Amino acid sequence: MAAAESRRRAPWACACLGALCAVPAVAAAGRLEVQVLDRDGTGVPEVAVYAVPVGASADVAEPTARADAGPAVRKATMNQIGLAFDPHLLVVETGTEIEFPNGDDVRHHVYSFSRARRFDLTIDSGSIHSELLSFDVPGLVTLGCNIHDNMLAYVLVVDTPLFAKTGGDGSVALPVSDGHYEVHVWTPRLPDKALPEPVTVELEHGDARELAFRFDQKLYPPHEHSETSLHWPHY
Amino acid sequence: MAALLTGSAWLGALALLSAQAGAADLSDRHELAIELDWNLFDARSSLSAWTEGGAGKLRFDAGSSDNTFARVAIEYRGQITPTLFGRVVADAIENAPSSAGLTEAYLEWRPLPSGVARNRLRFGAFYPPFSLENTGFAWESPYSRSFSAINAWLGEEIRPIGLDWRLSRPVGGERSPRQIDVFAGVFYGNDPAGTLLFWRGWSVHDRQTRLNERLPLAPLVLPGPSGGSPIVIERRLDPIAEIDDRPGIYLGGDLSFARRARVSLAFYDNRADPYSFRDGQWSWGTRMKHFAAQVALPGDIGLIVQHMRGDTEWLVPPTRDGSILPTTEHVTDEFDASFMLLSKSVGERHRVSLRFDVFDFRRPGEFEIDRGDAATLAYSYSLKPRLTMQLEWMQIESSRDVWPMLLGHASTRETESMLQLGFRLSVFDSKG
Repeated sequence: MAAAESRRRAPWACACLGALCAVPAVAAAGRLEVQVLDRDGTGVPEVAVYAVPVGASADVAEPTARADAGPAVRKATMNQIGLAFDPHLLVVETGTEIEFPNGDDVRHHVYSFSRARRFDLTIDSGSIHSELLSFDVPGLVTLGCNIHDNMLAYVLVVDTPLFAKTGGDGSVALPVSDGHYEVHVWTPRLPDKALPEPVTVELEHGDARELAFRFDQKLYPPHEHSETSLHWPHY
Repeated sequence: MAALLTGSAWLGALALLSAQAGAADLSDRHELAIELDWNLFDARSSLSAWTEGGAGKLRFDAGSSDNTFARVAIEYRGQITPTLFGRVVADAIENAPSSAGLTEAYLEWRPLPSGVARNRLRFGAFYPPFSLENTGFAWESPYSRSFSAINAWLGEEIRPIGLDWRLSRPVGGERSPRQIDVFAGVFYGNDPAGTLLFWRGWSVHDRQTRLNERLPLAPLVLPGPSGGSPIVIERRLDPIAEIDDRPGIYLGGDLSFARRARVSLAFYDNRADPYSFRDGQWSWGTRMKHFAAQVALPGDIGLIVQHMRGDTEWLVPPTRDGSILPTTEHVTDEFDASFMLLSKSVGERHRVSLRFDVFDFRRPGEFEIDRGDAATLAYSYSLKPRLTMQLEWMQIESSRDVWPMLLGHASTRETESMLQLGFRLSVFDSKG
């Protein structure tokens, strides 16, 4: 199984300030610094990292959520550009409405057969505003285009506002309040059974906490490929 | 000079066509692409080109006074309903008796997947999903102008008209990069397939037979009665004809790993009855097994191999009126061909490809009908995003025991070569 390690960093907030964290409006702002590594120890970009508040601490996380998400109805965008979805992986909080603008000169027919959200949507070319679809059930939604076989994307719907994707170096920081969290990582480049188990952490006094996840299994090649010498049949 | 004029005329005509197509303001349910192809060639062969009714393997005639060639190809794909599509591919070439026509025309039904498996159904006239080389616009090769011997033959004589089903699904989990495809086809047509392989042998070119096109075949030269002057029989071949009304089949499967590797196996049988005859065309019962693989090698070098092995049953001699003579023999000839292609893109503009073909057509235990090999070296350069220059050298060496006997040709061994400089201009592409 994948290993996850957690170690406490020197707290930068004093204990007395930490005590105030129970009051949401002035919750101490802590940080979860997550590093995702492949089995060779190289950082893996574009990995979803999300922290689900556990137990009573859910209340604590709520203000951060609203502050991050802006308006009451959260919105996100899944573009179609150059016969590809952009981004390849979109992480959203439950209840988010997603728009599917089509920047191509051809029509797309986006569909999902995933249990978390089944739909199909025909999107005319150049449609800056498509129909908004609400993603209300947590889980993975796999997107395809029924006209263009190579188009593939994932929407990961999570029951928390605390999420982000790793950057080029495989690391990301989540601003979190004090409390208990279950920290998950997810990438489409591994089967579910090879993904690391979530790690439970407790943050106090506005601590910064570092977490590292390491994938044991070799990653699938990225969907976007850089090789150009070979063409692939589309029968 | 004539070449320049022809080239300019074609360019002008196509500029007009493209302007009109652009002005038509195609809806996004339609995808249209038009390509103009113009080339200059230097063909070397002691035989005239098979396309001119000669016994040679080259597409263009060595003795031609005009050593240029022009072609327009059009590919259209339209959405009829959200899951039903129509695709039509056509081309037109200058100075040919049947100069324009459709090469593919079919309806494709792509039902929305309800799980990880995707189904596709095609109905109409199309290529069987065998070639890994012909992945470009209008079934062209992105690697070279000419196609390998195997795929040149598919382009000449194999065009199923029927139903094709394909199922694709990942293996080993929903997100696995491993995918399996299975496919099957039931079709009419292609009953004379094999005729060209016997009479002309394998070839290396990029000519695709149009539906309902009749190809020239080298005249048959038979000894005259009691030592008199030989009898020359002019012939034409309709490779896509249906003669015995028995549907053919093909079956196959592919395994692929992301865009890194792909292996494909297929079996094809036109199930033609060699005793059937219609409209001057005899059936040839042709079966083949086909293997293809492609892999992205380290250093981003592409490798493609294909291998085909099969046999064809036919009646010798083939009479012109369909009669069976006391001397008629039912023969089974065997064939096989392979090629290996290496291709490397350098930067965004350059591509170098090298292909080596071997081929054979024989009557087992009796004689070699066509045995040889071909080497092709191709370079392409994108002058502009829509304009590509192609330089290609190709040489075919072959030996044919039957030539002196059947075609009155003195030699049994030939080396034919061609140097081509081509320009392909994408004059319109609705996808931008």
